[in-house]
Amino acid sequence: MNKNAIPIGLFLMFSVLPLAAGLLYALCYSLGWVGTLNTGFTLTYWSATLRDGDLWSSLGLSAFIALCSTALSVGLGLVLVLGCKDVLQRRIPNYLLYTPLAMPPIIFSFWVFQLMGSSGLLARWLIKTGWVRSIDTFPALINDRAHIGVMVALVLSTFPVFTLLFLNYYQSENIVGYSQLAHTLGATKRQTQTSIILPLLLRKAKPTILLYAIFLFGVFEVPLLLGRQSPRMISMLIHANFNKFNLMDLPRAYVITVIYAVIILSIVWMLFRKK
Amino acid sequence: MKKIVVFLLILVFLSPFAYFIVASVAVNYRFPLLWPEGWTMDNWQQIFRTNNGLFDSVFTSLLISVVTAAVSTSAGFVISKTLAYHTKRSLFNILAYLPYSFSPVIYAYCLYFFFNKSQLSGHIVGVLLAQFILTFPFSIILFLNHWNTELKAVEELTYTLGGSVTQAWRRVIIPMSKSILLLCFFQTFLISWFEYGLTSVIGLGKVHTLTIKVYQYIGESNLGFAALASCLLVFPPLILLWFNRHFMLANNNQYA
Repeated sequence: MNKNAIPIGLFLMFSVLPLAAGLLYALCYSLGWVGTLNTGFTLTYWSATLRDGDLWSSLGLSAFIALCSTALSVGLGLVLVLGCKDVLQRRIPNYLLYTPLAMPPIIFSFWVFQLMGSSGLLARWLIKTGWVRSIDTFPALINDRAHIGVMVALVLSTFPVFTLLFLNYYQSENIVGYSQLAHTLGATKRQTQTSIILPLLLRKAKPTILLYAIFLFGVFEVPLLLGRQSPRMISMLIHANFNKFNLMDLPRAYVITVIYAVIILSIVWMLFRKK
Repeated sequence: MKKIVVFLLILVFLSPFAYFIVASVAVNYRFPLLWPEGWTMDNWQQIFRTNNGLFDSVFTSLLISVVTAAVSTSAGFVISKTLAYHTKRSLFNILAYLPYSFSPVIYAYCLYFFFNKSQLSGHIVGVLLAQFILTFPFSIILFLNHWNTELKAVEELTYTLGGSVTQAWRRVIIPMSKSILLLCFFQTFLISWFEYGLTSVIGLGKVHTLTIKVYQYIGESNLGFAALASCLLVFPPLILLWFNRHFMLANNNQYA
């Protein structure tokens, strides 16, 4: 037997097989081939789910939140690095940037819940200072229609990562050297930033930015605590369909799971094949 | 400008930790008070009372995270060597990214049928296996970039000089890979330590890790205990951060 067969077999068994088997089961369930509702091949569940507005609004909302949160985090990271690079490289500010990495998503959600909820710290402070008269006049910032709470939690958790990443690239890509060269050749500070530094940082960080957007698309813990029942993010829609008492909702849950998988796996496949 | 930036960073990043400590020792922290009426260490003393379950949760989380990290790191290290020197290396890299990019909770729902059939759901062994399935591809991704021509040349030199396979691993490969092994162990430990969605689905809510406890206390509107469980959840990574910041960012740098 080939000496590589065992390690490759183990890799496929624990890395690829579980996902492939899970998705195959989901596909078969959604087509009526397996499961307690097994009635033989049918496209009923697929056609019903694809006609359902909930699916498309959830996909749209997830894409919107993922893109907005990623764009805000990247923007904030770039502003900080371009504006305060020297400060951020000092010991204490640099350590502070690392602290959010020690917080799981559920803790970020809990913190935003306690900070921005109708009886949270922000509401207490505004009432105390007289800016808001009572709890009823405090605007809904969590479980709200615009998903402000969800985006705040996501941006808080991701912008330090991008800031640290850009700081690292600033050194590893010799951006100081390129900036000095541009300055010597007559470029202004603004031209150096927009034509040299930003393109270099964004091009280097592109795979990470795309992967973060993919992660945020399927984020679960944050909308679980801070999101709304309708419309809801795709992970919450799948979670809700798997947890309904009505067994008739299970094929629908599997259809949405397959659609999610096709979207995510196609993006990752294209991203890395290109790379 | 410098002082404003530092002040804002302190406000944004240290206030959650300060709030969790305050809320865990607060008495009558009711709306609209900005500051609690009193202080008590009762919640913290509850950790050591066996009927509370919080101490068990710390132990369960620690056990699951250490075992997951140890198995993922060792298996990923050994297996990735073959994958890295294989002609299909880039294909293996993409294949490792596919499960890693998947939302853990949705992945858990895909796997749930198989765990249920094998009677592993609702059991700590099932959660361990599920978390291994989640962290193993990550360790493969991390180690694939580690195996390079230099390391291979040193290994071959060991064989040329009469060293056995065991000696090459023990005396050359492992010592030369110590830092990446530690990095992978801490990263997989953190993935497991922070995991909520997959654990709640495969564990059926019966495997009480700290993240499960935090959510349970939030659901019960038990602010004191939720804050206490949050402190227990974030302090070990903070200590780790204090010792070595490098371990915390590797997760994010390895994509580039």
